[in-house]
Amino acid sequence: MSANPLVPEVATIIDIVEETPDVRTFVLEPDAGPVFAYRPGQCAMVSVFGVGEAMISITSTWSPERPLELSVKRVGRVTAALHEAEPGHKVGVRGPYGNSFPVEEWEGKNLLFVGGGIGLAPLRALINYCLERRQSYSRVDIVYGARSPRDLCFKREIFERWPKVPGVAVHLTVDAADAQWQGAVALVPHFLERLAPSPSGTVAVTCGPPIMIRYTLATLEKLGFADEQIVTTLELKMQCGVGKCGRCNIGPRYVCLDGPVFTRAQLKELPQEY
Amino acid sequence: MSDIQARLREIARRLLTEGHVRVFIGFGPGFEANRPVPFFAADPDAADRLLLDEFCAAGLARYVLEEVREGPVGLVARGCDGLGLERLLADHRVAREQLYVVGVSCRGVVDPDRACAAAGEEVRAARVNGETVTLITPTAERSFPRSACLLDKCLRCQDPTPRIADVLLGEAIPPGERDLAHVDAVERMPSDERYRFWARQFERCLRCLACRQVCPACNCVSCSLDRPEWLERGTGLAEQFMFHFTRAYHVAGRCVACGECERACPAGIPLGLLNDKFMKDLRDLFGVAAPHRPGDVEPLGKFCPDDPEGWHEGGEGT
Amino acid sequence: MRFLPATALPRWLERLRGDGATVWAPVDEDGVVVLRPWEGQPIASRYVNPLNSLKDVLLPRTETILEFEGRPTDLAVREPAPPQSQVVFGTRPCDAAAMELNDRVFLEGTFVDEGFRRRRETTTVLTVACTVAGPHCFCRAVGGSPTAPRGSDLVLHPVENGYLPEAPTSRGEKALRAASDLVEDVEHPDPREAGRTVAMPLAERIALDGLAARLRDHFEHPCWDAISRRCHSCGLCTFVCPTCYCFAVFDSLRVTRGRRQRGWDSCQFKDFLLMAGGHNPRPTRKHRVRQRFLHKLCYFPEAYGEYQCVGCGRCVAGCPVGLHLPAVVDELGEVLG
Ligand SMILES: Cc1cc2nc3c(=O)[nH]c(=O)nc-3n(C[C@H](O)[C@H](O)[C@H](O)COP(=O)(O)OP(=O)(O)OC[C@H]3O[C@@H](n4cnc5c(N)ncnc54)[C@H](O)[C@@H]3O)c2cc1C
Ligand code: SF4
Ligand code: SF4
Ligand code: SF4
Ligand code: SF4
Ligand code: SF4
Ligand code: FES
Repeated sequence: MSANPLVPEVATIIDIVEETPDVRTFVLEPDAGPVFAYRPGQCAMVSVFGVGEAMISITSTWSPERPLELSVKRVGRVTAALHEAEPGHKVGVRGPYGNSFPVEEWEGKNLLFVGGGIGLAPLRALINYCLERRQSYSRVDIVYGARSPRDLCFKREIFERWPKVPGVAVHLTVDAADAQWQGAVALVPHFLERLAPSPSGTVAVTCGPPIMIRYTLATLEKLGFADEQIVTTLELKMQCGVGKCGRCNIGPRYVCLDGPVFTRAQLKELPQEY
Repeated sequence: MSDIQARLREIARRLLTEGHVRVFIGFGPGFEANRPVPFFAADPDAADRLLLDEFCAAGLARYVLEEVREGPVGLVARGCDGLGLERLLADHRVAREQLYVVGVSCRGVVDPDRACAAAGEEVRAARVNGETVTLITPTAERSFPRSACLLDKCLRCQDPTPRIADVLLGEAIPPGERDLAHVDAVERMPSDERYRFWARQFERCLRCLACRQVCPACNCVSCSLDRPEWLERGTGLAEQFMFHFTRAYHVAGRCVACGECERACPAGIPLGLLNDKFMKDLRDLFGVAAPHRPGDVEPLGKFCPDDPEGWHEGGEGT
Repeated sequence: MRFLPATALPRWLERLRGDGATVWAPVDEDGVVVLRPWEGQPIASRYVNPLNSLKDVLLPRTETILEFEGRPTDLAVREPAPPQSQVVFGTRPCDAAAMELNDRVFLEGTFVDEGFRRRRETTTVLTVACTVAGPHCFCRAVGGSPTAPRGSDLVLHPVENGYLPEAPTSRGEKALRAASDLVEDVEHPDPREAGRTVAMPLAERIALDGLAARLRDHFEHPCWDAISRRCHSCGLCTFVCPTCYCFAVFDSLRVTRGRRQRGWDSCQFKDFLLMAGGHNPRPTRKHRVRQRFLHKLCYFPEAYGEYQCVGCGRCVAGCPVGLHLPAVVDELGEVLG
């Protein structure tokens, strides 16, 4: 590995999973040596050589032999180039970056995950991490929504794997149903309000588009969750990921170093500039 | 100027009181006495802080782009500001009824650095007379030639009076033809020397884009200079040439010679010389007056079905 | 005390260059003084600060991170050769001090910025102390001085017909050894003292005491609207500033060869934070100007205990609309008390 933190390792795309029409999961294996060790909530800077870099949450959970998984929504130049890539193509990865979810502090607690769209990517890493240590946590509720049924990511997990784990409930919703959809049709914050999970002994973790997060935070507050019980992740434009490029600050904090995971209490200390 | 300043305040106050404009753009006191700064009077009382003296250097036209979004704008305009406003109007970026233009005839603006160097000490005030400028320092009052005191842009100015004023303070000064003789010297250089000359200039460029940001002609909503597919972000000599040619070509035939780009450039790059080269070619090849005044023929900027050279039949875009 | 005659300067720099270092020196180019790789041209003597600061040498406008070649399935990635050693002559004490501020950002914390570190460790900074301050200088108001050695490897104090060299670091001492036969011994009072008496009217006008704390409590203060209104959102103030360090990372590609570079970027540019999908957390001049000044006057001091400004005066001289640090400190002082 280079001494220069801006120099990525070269990795090969070994598999691509089409999650939704605009989200693909890339399974990557570094060409030299094992994947760096990472914790749930951390991110990696992935790059297409000649196009550029993009910061992506790591959606796999770490073990020495597991490849790295990144779920990428096609939105701009780099993400489009990734979507054009095929298995066998080389990409760059560097990381892991950012803090992570304080999973040790949550032992013994109920966990409530609230995700929207591609926001399930960082939550998936966290959920699988917690489910691999199922006995350390109490009740687990996963609330997840997307624009439409075909926009739901990680279908195998949300429909098959997670619901089968004892003490885990998966609650799905979409903004707009299609002909086959049997489940709920509601925006995530409304759906959550109806589910009315109890705040007692619970940590709520929410990731998704900014607008969803805003309303979800309000709903959680209404349900009686204290600011310290609410955890979310922030997204800000990034270039270096290592606290040098001056890009991702919110007031005195840098999202790439001090985030992306923040409690609501911590967010309230920061200027509202994100 | 003090009499004109008093009238300016009075007009601005009235416009703001009567609600004709939402803001009046002029100059206010800066941190240093000889560097007034653009000032935005948003209420009638603020009009009394407007200032107009021989040191008001910044062009104001470009501010209009941002300010008209919230409502009609009044502003004080010298000749160069007036041409800048005409540029924005011709480009349909603002509408005439959104503007109230208080014109002033300008005799030239004093460059504080140049003046202090000429006087050898801090210049607090100045009077611009025909061919000389009187500089007033704490110890003396002395006259110097214009070239030793004024901003470059003013030394070559040909339009001291704005053409589009709603009201004009002071006597109109008739426009002239721009003196483009300084272009000859560069044209006469052998090509390798000319290359070295421009390479040396462009190498200094910091790519800060001040030249673009102050320019009334650089008013595109989305600029190709920001697009990596048009211009790579590097600062190697090739990219520097590309950057400067693109900028110059994109204002060719539209540049109103307000001089703001060159005034703003921290690197002393003779952007005016480059602009003037294009102006000279446009004059010599197409007979366009220099500088181009919005409304004149636009050989580079206008599609014209009866173009004397005809249009290539059958190709795309004919 | 040692004395280096002015006439010996080119010979000394020539020797340093002979050792394989790139030597930078201020040269007068069409009336603009610029730090340039020196190849024997006349060295400018009358200047306050060159257009480009020491930042241009240590954190260059663009720097290659890696080069690559090949097809997507078979790609070779290579790091560029490490930078060769450099000597910068003619820096002013403010610029040298600025690099110590940049050290905090680039060398401290979880990650070390390797590009900066390598350049920093192979660059010798030969500062020429100031005997007069320019009209825009205010180093004294931010803890500096016209003769301060901070950040320099060697300070050359100008005296009649030459310099009195002072070497705060072994790198500076080593550079001076190349001139050992050119240096004479003289009697002279401590040249640093001269710095105290240099007139610097601007420094007296700037009151920074306690500003960081007051700014912290006034993030939403309406004064930012008025202060920022004249800003044109160019990058001039941040690009000329020796302490501003923001950069962007970008790739370029020619068929099968390309490189990744980083280059200066500015928080004053409209699209600095523009994200895919169109969200921009700092959409207006107010947001961006506030970021620049809060970074310099509040966030940086909170993290490192000092303002992110060395008083070099470049933003004062450069901003086309007088929206520079002293002006803003002054305007803030008026509204925040
Ligand atoms: C902490 C964090 C975690 C993220 N996790 C994921 C994820 O798991 N899956 C996913 O699909 N996306 C994720 N994103 C968003 C992703 O980084 C952007 O969508 C992506 O950078 C867009 O790059 P682009 O080149 O396609 O877009 P363009 O619009 O072409 O962007 C140009 C450049 O701007 C920057 N940029 C633009 N938008 C963003 C943005 N929203 N966030 C950060 N940088 C941006 C990038 O440096 C990019 O190279 C995450 C962002 C952050 C900050
Ligand atoms: S203002 Fe000058 S230095 Fe800045 S980009 Fe324009 S030409 Fe270059
Ligand atoms: S190019 Fe320069 S002189 Fe021409 S209109 Fe723009 S700012 Fe004015
Ligand atoms: S403060 Fe001045 S130099 Fe800085 S971006 Fe604004 S106009 Fe440009
Ligand atoms: S803020 Fe201005 S005076 Fe301070 S270091 Fe930067 S350019 Fe120099
Ligand atoms: S002031 Fe702006 S450009 Fe300068 S370092 Fe801070 S954030 Fe970066
Ligand atoms: S991404 Fe560069 S500082 Fe955070």
